[in-house]
Parts: sequence; C-alpha cells; structure tokens
Amino acid sequence: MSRAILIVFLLAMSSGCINLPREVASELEPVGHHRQDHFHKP
Amino acid sequence: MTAVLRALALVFAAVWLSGCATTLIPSAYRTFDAESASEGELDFHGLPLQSGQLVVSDSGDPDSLLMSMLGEEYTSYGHAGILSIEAGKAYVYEGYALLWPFLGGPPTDAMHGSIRRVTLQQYIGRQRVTAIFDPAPGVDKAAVAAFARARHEDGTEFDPYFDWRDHTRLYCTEFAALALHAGGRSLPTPVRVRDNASLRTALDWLKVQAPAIVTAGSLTDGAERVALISRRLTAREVEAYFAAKRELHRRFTDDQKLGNIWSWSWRGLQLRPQIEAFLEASSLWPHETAAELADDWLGAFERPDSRWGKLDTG
Repeated sequence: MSRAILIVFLLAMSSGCINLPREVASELEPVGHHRQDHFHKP
Repeated sequence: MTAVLRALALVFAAVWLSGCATTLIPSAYRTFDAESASEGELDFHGLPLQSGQLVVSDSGDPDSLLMSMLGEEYTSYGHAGILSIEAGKAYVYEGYALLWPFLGGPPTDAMHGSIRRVTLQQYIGRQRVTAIFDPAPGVDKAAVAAFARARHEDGTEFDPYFDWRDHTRLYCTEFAALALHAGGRSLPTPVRVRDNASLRTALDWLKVQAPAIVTAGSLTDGAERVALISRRLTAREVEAYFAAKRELHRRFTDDQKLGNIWSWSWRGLQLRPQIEAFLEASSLWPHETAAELADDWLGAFERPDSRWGKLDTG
C-alpha cells in the first residue's frame, strides 16, 4: 500500500507542475481560423 | 467527502496500475492468439513463450501515438522489451521511467528510471495491443535474455533524451536493440526524426537532440510474430487501428502542427477529440478504408475559409 500512496503522491505532484513554454504551447494549439483542427493534403 | 472519495479512487487506481490486483483471464481478451505452432519454453495461457523473445506494444495513450509519429518511417508499436522465463514465470525487462515532482524545466529532466523487470501479465495490462516476436533464426535468445537481465542487475539508467549515440543510458527500444544484438542480430538503422518545425520546437524544449531514433518497428524486421494480445480489439480491429495510425503518420507532413493531433491540459498530453474519434472508429471498418475514413472524420470540421483541406484521394 505504501507503494500505491507513493505513486498517488507522484501523480498528484507532477500533474500540475508542467508549465509549457509559450512557444511549445503555441504548437499545441490547432491551426487555421476558428481554432479548428485540420489536416491538409499531404 | 468528495476529496476523500477522489483520493480513494486514486489509491485504487494506483494499486490496480501497479499490478497488485490484476488477474489475467484470457477469455476477457478479444485477442489472445498464439500464431506459432512451435512449442515454447513456457505455455503462458496457450502462448508459446521463450526467453529472449521480443515484446512490443502500443498503449493507446497520446504519448504512444507521438512515438509512432516521431520518425520518418511509421511504426505501429511505441514500446519494446525482452521476455525472460524465470522459475516458470514470464517476465519482461523494459526501459521505464517515472516522472518525479519538479518545479521547472522540461519533464525529461525530471524523469528517472532504469531497466526494470515486470511480469508479462503486468506488462500486458498496461497496453492496448501487445505482440510477441521470435527473433530471426540464428539469434541466440539465451544471450538476448542474459543481456536484459544483466542491464537490470547493473542498474542501467533510463535515457529520457532518446540518444542512441550514448549507450550508458538506454531508452526502451535502444535497450531491446542492444539485447538482440548481444544475441547476434545486427544493429538496426535508426530512423530519422521528422523534419517538422512544430515537432522540433517541442523536442528542443525536451532536450531531445538525437537526429534519429530506434523504433520498435525496426526491431521486428525479420522476426516472426508468435502472439498477439489485445483486451479491446480483435485481430482484424488491431490491423484496422494500425492502418488508421499509419494514415495519421502519412498526413502529419513536415508543415503540420502538433496541435492538429494533440492538445495540452492539466492531465498532460491529450488527443484532439476528432483524432480520438477517428482512431476509435477505425476499428469498425476494413483497414483498407483508413484514408477514406480519415477524410470523413478529420475533414468533418472543415470550413470554407480554412486553408486546410481534405485529403485529395483522387
């Protein structure tokens, strides 16, 4: 059980800690107008 | 009270994830197929297993899809390990890391792990699809397994930066490649990382500078698949699901943004809803229809003023 608590602790601690730099966050935004996701012709 | 219930749910989930509460029941799997007539060292619920066999898998998670999209060549599987039969029980040795708490910098700096040993049952429980391969004839499987055990025992660290040029730390497929090489298989040619500006921005932040990576797909060349396992998908559905992933890989050309496939939330990397829907729907159709299906699912959100168009299948 102590192992499980450790995992929960790690999950809880790590989940909110990742702040993406602006340039990376920007790449994870969809492309195009109206913030929609599209694939174009390869 | 809600917080207590949530904590209990998390504890239960953690216990389940750690493998303490799982019991493998083959009939609960839609695919639990032995694909070889040869006898193994161990009969694992009907699967003929031997030490030194290669285990590859796809977890179905967003980061697993990222592994499939990373290289210029498509790979269905994102993770790999080496099988070892010990005292009548099947284990998998794998490169694995946990994300430790951190306050700044990229998560790769906070990932710490090693070559660990888990039961095959635990390994399968984490994956959407698992396949087991017999290495090509001539490969000394005992030497493969011995290498895997040795890297576990000497505490070889996990390499979160995926650098094939430095073998002092190993990532999962690098570890499996070197284990197979210890048995006499030639080293695979690493697959070039895609020249995609959006991907490069993220990789630079993660400090992943390797120009090429060893993919799980490059390890299965010349090997014979002896088992296929999936809890949710039939063998045909696995084929269709992989065809859909291949179609995504084909469409993720160098000028695409990561944001067309993934988003970011407090839960970490997530799939965009239509990507998730596309992958879910793919299993309903023959694998040959992946391109057509992609047009239907991924083009459904198209607007006339968008510069992103549907795939020209003509």
